[in-house]
Amino acid sequence: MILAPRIIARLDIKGENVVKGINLEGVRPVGKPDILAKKYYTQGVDEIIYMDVVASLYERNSLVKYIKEAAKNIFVPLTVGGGIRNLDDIKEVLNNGADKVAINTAAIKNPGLIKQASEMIGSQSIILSIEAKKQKDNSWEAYFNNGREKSGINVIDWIEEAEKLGAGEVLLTSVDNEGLKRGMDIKLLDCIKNKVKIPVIFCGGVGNVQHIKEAIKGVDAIAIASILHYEKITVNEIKNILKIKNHEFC
Amino acid sequence: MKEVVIINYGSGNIFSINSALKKLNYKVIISNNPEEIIKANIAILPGVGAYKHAMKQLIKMNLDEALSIFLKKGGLLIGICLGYQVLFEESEEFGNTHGLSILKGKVVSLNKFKNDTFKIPNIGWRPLIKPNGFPFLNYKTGSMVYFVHSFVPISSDEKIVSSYIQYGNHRIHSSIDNGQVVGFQFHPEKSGNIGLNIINSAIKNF
Repeated sequence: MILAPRIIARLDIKGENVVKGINLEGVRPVGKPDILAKKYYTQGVDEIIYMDVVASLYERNSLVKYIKEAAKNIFVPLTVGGGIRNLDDIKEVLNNGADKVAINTAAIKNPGLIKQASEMIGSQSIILSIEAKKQKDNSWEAYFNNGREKSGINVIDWIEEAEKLGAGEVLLTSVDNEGLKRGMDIKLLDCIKNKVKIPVIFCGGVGNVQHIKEAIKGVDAIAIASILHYEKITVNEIKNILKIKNHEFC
Repeated sequence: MKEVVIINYGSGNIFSINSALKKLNYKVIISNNPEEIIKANIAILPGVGAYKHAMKQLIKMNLDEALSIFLKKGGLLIGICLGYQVLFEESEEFGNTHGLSILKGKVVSLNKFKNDTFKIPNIGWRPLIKPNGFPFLNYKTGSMVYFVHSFVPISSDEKIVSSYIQYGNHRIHSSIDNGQVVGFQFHPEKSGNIGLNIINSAIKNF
């Protein structure tokens, strides 16, 4: 039996808008968070990720108002990321309707935060977010501040570390493939597949259902953005094509 | 309009449960006051995080006693996720920890059922299996609901098990209902309309 991956909609948010860029850069608005979230929920999405793409720069997450509104009418798990710096930030977001937080920059600066948060709040709510960029020597390095800055940390090492720190899940975004709609970074996936026992949400590069199929066996969840935002396909249609029924492949 | 108390002991996702109940047109009171809880007819015990911490909080706030009186008075208690697990006698999370012993059985690690298909924590949407002829709860076999857990209660009384999920080669108990105490390992408040219907039926049938 192969479990079908969760299909997650990712909303990158800047100011009042959901935005979409290429390689996490050059973003342009594609809609309003409330409207898109509602739309994907109605289409049968399994989860929604809200990512404040400029939060790390301003050192704060501005998504509480969106999540608060969303959680009144959307009854699937909601994750908030971007600019989550400390336990207080985590608690604020979780107390306002989010189920999980995704932490990148703050975890790179202080890995102890993941440990502390998972012990206090529980692993189930703590996602280590990793922005992976391929290096000249064919390794991957973890970036932060939305793919802008190098950390010097090897992605495979960081993924293995995530579990020890107590993260409940890993959100792995390929910065190189992100926004291009030319497929996911399968080589990266092959490298991490057997390295981590906690669930992996893979993100970056889905341009059609075939791209999801290529990645499907190695991951627990796939986060998609462009093809939903640009209305190339609906969540329903994706699940139908993948023949996901009862979360197994038929 | 039926009134539901959500027990606020600092260990639960109260926001989403509150939203779900409001969507279903129930009046919600959020409280950690034992007297207020004892007076109520319907109470929900939410919970995420660590078992030991949750038990400590419940005892510190005298909510263990309050729940026992609440049940003697005939109230309906609904436990969700960790709020379901603490209803049992003990959990093996971080060594053995005593629970509220409202239900007979033990909370065990999913490691016991280790297999290649499922990871731990068990996160995601899983199809429920309804026991033949089970009268309560509005759902069908195959209904998808959202799970996120590393431990699961095994009810000593198989007759009160209201749903199962297939976890590798094992069928594990995913909810119980004994007519007065209802418990869910999954999150009905995060399981779309199917989840809302399940919560609604648990309250309505009472």
